[in-house]
Amino acid sequence: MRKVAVIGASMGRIGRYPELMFQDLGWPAVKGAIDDAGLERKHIQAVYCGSAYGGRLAGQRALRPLGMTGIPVINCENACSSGATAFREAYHAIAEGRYDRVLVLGIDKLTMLGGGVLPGQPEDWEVDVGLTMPALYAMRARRYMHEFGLTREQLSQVSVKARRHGALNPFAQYQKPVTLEEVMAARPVAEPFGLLHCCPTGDGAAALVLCAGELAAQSTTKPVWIAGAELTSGRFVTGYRDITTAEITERGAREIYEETGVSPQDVNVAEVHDAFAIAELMYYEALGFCKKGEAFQLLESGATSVGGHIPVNMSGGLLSKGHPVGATGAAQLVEVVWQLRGQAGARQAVGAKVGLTHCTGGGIAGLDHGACSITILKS
Amino acid sequence: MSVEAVEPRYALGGTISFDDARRHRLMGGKCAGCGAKVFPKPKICSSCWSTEQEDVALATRGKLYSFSVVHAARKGWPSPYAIAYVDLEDGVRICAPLEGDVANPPPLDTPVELIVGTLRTDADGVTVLSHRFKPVTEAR
Repeated sequence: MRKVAVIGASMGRIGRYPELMFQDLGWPAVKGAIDDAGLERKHIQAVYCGSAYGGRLAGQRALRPLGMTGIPVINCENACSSGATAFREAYHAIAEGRYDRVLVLGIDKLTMLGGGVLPGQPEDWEVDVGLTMPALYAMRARRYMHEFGLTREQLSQVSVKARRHGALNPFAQYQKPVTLEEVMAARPVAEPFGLLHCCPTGDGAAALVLCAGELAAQSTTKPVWIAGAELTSGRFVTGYRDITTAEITERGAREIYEETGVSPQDVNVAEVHDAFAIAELMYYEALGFCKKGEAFQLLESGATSVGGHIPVNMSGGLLSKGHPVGATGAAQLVEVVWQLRGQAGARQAVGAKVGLTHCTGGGIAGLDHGACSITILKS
Repeated sequence: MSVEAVEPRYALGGTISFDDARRHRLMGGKCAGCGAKVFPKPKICSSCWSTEQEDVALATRGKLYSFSVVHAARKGWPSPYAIAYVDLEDGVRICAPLEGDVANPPPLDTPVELIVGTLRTDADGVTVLSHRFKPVTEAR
């Protein structure tokens, strides 16, 4: 296996752009990443594109305006982990020697779907009796509150922190902080969640250029190294299941820590999949940042905020930066690349050397989640 | 003018039947290979790959594991409504609408029992029925 570096990263501000064509959402991120790597389009040998709702040939459609045609384009769909799955496949392709320089694109345009909650999984019997994605996480939240004594006010502090970070990020969909009172009083979506406990729907694209380690110095003096990129799927369980434990994330984390030799204590900055407020707390525990049931204490201590020892979701996370589903994994990776290069501006985690991204999603009956990707990057 | 009897439409076909006393039963599958009980009945056992799946009436009582009152519903669903996970007495977990006043829901772990009721009205204007659970009111 060859060493692989990230040498280019780019994304636009996530938001609602119903007037923008899908392709016009995508190509600026692609061009930005290639420019950032100091390369030309002729250097890119293949493109891995992650999109959940973009439809057929999402990658080709985004690349066509740039004339980046005639190369292999591999389209990856894995719900919220689509972009991270594309990244993982690109990493392996270079590590195994298939290509030397590859581009990863994550892209989705949720405003194409109209408003409201996302459509449910087809042929899923839980969806057919009324389960929605917010309700699934809301049930996790209620059970967690019941078992560990978490209050709705404490849960709401997750959203306050996310929006505080997002206010420092020019690429975030929401850049306005909110108060605890505002989170508590927001209109109900799926109890105990109000609107501000849920990520917004939005449009976005993010791109990265990866290359074989020996070529990195041609592009940059600050390569970011890929220590490992884990992908797994949820285990199908038909009986009782503890929904306060993020099974797929816990298992994935164990695997990548073992594979890379990195421990949770080594991680200096992390982007985790906070699609709903409870998720961030559950993932602190599943990723080993704290013990089971102690996530709120970790949040309250300030450890996961700007200036803390394990800052989480400096970008604002999905709750504030936004969640264009298939783009999210790539957008998290762009953020951590910027953090490790020291380019994250007001939200910079000072001196960060090891970063982690975590992306999981896809509601599917009987599984914790459909897919989970965890990546560890080093400066 | 004759009134045609309209067959009830179920959200999940084949999951509701009646016992001899005309009480509702919730049907699942029992694997002939390994004995696993699953709702709804699968075509193949995900554990032992046996394709011999018997129809089995599942427990009609269980405990409320968790629930959410849904306000932001998909198009065509009347809201608010409560959706729950119920742990049946025979080890099966089931996703089900929760019956009752959504403004005063019961606490978690409350004993609940099966009823069958209206889920929603579909695009053809037909009433769709499904299993639901309500807090147990009387001792068995």
